[in-house]
Amino acid sequence: MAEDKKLRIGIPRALFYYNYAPLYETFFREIGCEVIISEKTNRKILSDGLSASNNELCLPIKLLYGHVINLKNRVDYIFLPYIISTHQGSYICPKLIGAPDMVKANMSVKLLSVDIDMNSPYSSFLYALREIAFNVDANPLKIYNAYTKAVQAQEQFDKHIKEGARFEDALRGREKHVHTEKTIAVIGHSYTFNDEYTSSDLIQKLEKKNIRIFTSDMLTFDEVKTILAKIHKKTHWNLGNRILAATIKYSSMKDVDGIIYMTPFSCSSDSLVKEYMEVHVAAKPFMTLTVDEHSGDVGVITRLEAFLDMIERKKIGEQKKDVQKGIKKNKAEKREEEIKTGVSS
Amino acid sequence: MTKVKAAFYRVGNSDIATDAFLRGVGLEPITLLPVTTTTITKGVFYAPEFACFPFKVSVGMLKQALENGAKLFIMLGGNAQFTCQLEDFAQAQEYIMKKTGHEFEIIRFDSAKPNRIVAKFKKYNPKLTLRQAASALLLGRQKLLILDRLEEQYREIYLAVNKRRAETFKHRWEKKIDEKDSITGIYLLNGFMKKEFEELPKANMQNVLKIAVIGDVYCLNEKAINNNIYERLLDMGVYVDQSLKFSHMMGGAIGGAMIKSPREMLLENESKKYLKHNVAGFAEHTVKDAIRYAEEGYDGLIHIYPFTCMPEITVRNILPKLGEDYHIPILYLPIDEQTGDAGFTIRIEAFVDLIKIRKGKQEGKT
Repeated sequence: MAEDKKLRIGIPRALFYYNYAPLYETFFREIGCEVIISEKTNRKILSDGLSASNNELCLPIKLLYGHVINLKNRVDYIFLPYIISTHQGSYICPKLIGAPDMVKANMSVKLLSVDIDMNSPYSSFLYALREIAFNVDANPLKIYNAYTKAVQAQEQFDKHIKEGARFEDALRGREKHVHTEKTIAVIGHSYTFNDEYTSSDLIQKLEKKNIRIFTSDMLTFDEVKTILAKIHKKTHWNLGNRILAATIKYSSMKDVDGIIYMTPFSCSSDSLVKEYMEVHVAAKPFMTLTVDEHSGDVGVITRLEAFLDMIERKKIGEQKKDVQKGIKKNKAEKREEEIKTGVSS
Repeated sequence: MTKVKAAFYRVGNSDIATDAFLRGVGLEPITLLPVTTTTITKGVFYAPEFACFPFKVSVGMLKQALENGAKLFIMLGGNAQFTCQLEDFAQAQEYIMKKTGHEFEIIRFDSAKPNRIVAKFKKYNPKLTLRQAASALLLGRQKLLILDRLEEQYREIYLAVNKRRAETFKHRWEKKIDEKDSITGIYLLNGFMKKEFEELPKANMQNVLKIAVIGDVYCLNEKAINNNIYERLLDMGVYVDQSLKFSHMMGGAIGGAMIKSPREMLLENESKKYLKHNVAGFAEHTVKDAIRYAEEGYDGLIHIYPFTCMPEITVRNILPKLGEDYHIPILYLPIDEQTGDAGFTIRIEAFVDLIKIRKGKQEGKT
């Protein structure tokens, strides 16, 4: 057989897939592998994940289990890197670093794992991905080309995300339509609010109501750094820093009407970040949505509608206040004028 | 000039060592009461819902210290790779307690270098010298180490003689350690203590079950949190070993380099198969110790960890595989504010019974 069968590599649609999807996908496609991505989260994936995992784990990891099970029989290898830190001087949550180890211990799957650690001297995605590529194809030039293409795709994706595109749109390079009525900031881990099943499709629900959305992913890393440098505080969680910076930024922005903070149940790193948030956040309508495997669609809708109504009321109230202030001002001015004219006349 | 009233974070009976340190740097120590249900209730009331249990307890502890008139609280802190969220604890505590209207200051104790200590404490004791700080640190360290040794000896006496003898031994020596405030004095005490211990009868270790308790360092050391697990096991006539002492937690917090023995390096290689990176906190130690105890021929392991503890939950998902590979039974005990006394005992008793049956079967075969 002249035509070898292509190596099939599976990428679970969980955790950091939502941040680095184009990078991984393009890279593996370019070095000549077939890339299979697990299905979108559905009931079966969730229940598989729940039954395979221990019940003290947080929802995102349980979902990872489900996605790995979904891929297990369809691929040769599953790509799951050890992501220790994505930027210098901070760390990813311990459970996420240990995720490949946990999967390995609980399921018999072949994992392709590399270390991605920006704190170590040999720190770049190229160095990390190179390790894997040598196992598949030993041509360095091809690897380098694949890497540059992958980085280009990732940069394109990041640009779209920064402009406020939804994850799916950014992946396909689609532009975002402009909404006008209100602006709401959605803050949280990108793998929580981008997952349509667990977040009850919060983002689409908001978009249908003609609302502009800012997400915490829209901040660049430099922006996060400068914002946190201003308050001289930082948590040592990479994702926690982002959430904190996003909350500070959006709460001080005038055209943001409200903030929705989405957090998975029993997320220990978020709990302390929230204490930080309370101190440094200006007054803004704020809602915390805790999601877990039992949260239903209806509950989210109810809470969302109540939240939006509240914002509406607040707006009307503010307008009234402005009007009243205006009237008072006018009266005062008139009186002053009268006094002036009285004195002069 | 009156001395500043200060309280140091307390784990188990570490107050003996930390109070000596505080006296050494010229502050007036306020001894924190041991952790009770009141502490836990207070902590749970103020702390965020999903924060790990040790954090909740520490908030309760801070509240208690402030009620007793402390103006300064010294909290452990440190490198993220060694201590997980402990780095953020001090900051979060400050935010939480300042909301309730208390006036106080908090110091993050994250280095054992005398010059850093002087820099941190100079504000509260202007006369503090480098020499004073260094000797206070050394005294605290010696006291911690001797307390760890005392705990080991206490358990052996408990098993060999009886509970009363062990407790009187412990209390007497704790008092003596507390009273001595010189480094040479502690050195001498160590010798006397060893001598007295060696004169006591030893347990016959031939038919005794051996169980090791591994897991989160705070749960291992705070008796009020782990429901006196060691005494419970000792009452059943089981030899207990504890994988991490409070001095380890201190070492992690101050980021001291740990000198590794060749055996430890081998164990590290072995543990890399299960947990490739030290995710945070003492996860790596837990895996390493599990392997070490399995190789040393222990009959069972008890893994004890707080609810929503990130590193230990990672380990908890890896340990079943390790247990299978090394043929060692493991009992998992998550702990939070709702952990009951009876449920705890039942599980431990059942586990010990199972191990006994297993050991009997194995001996019958050979």
